[in-house]
Amino acid sequence: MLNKKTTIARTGLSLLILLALAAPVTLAAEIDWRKHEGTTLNAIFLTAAYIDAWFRPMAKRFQKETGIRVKMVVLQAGQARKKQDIMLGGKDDTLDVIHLQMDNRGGKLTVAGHLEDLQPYLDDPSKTPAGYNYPQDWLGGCLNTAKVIKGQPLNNIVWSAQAQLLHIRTDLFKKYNVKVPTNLQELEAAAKKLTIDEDGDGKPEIYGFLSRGRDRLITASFATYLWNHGGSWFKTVNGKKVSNVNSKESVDAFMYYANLIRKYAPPAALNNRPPANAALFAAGKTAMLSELNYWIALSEDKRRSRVVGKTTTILVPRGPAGSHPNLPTMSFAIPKYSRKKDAAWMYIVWMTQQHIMQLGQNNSVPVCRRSVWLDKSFTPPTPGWGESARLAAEYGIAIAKPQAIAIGQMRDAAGEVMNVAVRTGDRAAVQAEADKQAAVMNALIEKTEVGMNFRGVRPADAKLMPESEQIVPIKADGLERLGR
Amino acid sequence: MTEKAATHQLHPVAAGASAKDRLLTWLDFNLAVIFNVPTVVLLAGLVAFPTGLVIWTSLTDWQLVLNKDPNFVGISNYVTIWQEERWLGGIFNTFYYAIVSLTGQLVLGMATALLFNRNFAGKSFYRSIWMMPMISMSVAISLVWAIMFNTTYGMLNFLLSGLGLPELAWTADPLLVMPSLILVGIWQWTPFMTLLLLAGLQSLPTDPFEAAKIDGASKWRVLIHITLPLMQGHILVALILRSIFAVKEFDTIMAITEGGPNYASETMNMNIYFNAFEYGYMGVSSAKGVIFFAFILLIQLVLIKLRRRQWSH
Repeated sequence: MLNKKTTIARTGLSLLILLALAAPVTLAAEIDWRKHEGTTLNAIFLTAAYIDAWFRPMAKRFQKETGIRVKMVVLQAGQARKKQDIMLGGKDDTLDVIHLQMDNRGGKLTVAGHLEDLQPYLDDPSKTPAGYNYPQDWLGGCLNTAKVIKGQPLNNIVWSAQAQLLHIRTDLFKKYNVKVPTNLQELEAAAKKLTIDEDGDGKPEIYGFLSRGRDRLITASFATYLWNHGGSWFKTVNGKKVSNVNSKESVDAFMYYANLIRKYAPPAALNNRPPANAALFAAGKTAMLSELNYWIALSEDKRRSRVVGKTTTILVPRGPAGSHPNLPTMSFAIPKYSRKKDAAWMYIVWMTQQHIMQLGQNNSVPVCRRSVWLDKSFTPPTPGWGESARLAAEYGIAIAKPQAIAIGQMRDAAGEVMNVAVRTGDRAAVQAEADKQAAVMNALIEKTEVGMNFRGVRPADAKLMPESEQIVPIKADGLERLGR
Repeated sequence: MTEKAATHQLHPVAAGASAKDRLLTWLDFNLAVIFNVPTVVLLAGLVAFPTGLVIWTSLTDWQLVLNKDPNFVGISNYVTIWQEERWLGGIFNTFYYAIVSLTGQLVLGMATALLFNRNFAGKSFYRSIWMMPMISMSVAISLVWAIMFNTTYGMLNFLLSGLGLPELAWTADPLLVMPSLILVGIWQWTPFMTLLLLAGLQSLPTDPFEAAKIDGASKWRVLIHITLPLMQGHILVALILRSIFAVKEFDTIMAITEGGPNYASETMNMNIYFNAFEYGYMGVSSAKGVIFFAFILLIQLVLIKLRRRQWSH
């Protein structure tokens, strides 16, 4: 009996000693969120619908919880990139957080060594919460976009799983009993049927399709059509990266997309920036809009939309080469020259915690954490939106931009081919322009990428989406029987 | 006797003068130089140094983002830019915009100045309204014009459609984009031309006009043979001022077209901007900047020479 008591006492004592020993370790693993209290961080963000809806309120909450003020400079994408480039080029130590698309400038900034390696921060338990769970809780498509160069360090935390999808007017599809498209032929047929001239004056009241149609802006929205046709921005020939915009498949894609813009889109497609296109869709002027999925926040906004409750999103229809959802993710990064890197990391970690990202997700900001998609509190704006966004985040690849050092000129070159395609619709002219621009792109690669190994985009990076998945978002909204 | 020696005679420092007296004398003697030092320092810092830096950068291959030390490449940037189709297009667009826009502004500016030089009811009110585009923010009015040019919901196409005319692609058509931008330029800057020319008209001597009236000259002949010749100097001043701004027009074009479509509205300074801040080619961009500066200088020299010749008459 005594022995038993002694054994219990000894075991209890041992446990106490173990707990006492473990306590400091546990405490060390806790993050002191007030450690950088009083610090002000300078951050440059790209304009997006989620900035006001999520980032600004979260910045206030972050300040309340940590005492760190985030001074947000929000600029239109082109201006934000230029400002970031100038500050990074000048090794400005007052810039602490940057918001960027890795598939756009990530390669260039990595090569230049402007971005801080975040792995040591991630590995440090005093800087990263124990349950942060990166990369295990990140969706596969998102992780595909985080590294764009062979051997690239972890210099960004990808957070946004925004995807280029097809917004559709469910009421119009139902009213005119039009098949919701699963392939590119059906997409053109639907665009044709839903270009509606109600009063017969030769000017449609509703246009069937809308997407970006001007210059360099087209690259992001066109990318899925390009890849679904079997085209691509680049290919590898004898181990060398060369332009592929003049291949038969790529020219097919340029012709197809330009044809949709020319025949079924409002003429404003040639002028508009994405927000103006989203506004046209929300005003009920078009039946389909090929754009980023977060724009559903506008079309479902009761104050600013005439189509509330009448829209959803589906995947861009499959092409001869399958379905490649374009996932132009957004990342956070820290400039190497910042004097407040620890506080900047604290902001990044705080913003990408599960419960904070959940708030974004619940506000129609598709995020990269897998767990927030599965959380019961998440109710997508429409079932189709939820399914299409999930599939894009799972299977998507970063094909939005021609990944290169001279990214700006590459985008201009691609835009030039599209301009000719939209204006002329003449295959020979498009092929000639594509050949011309391919030569320009190859010269740029020769000039700017000597000795570099851009990982770029490879279909092998993503799991190829099974054909059966294409209809999942359509079924989720019960639209699969239309047009039969 | 030199001026310096004369000054010394006027302010002789007596032998055995105190240090204070010597300092005061020295200050008195060098006052002109001392007063000019801040201006010279300021000009050197704000004009000479940046200009020198741009010229030096134009001789290098500096790339903004790639974080590499610039290499000296001599005049190669100045040679290679002439092989760029887009740069040549930019030069053409710059002068196309400047010449057509200035011509329109001059003709309309003169017409409105003649109108406002007369007396009629509500003149001050109409003149104030007329001047409004000139005092508005360029980017703000450009964005309004961009909406008006919009091919789907723009007011201009609405008007054309109402008149039974075909709608135009305005800024989306490479052939129409420059005329569209010129239209905005004329709308915005004609009032400025009016202001300058109106000031000129109001300063003209009245005698020639009275003599012409007594001689029974028609209004047209008075305009051609008296008003315009007398206004030559004012017209040249207005052209000098406006040509500088027209050649370097940026904000309107950037806000409405960003140089597109197909670079059809890209001017020299937009090309410079894109090269520097979009592509990061600071060396090439600086070389283009120097060339652009030379173009502006040349235009101004020609106009100033014309003005001097006019004054000598």
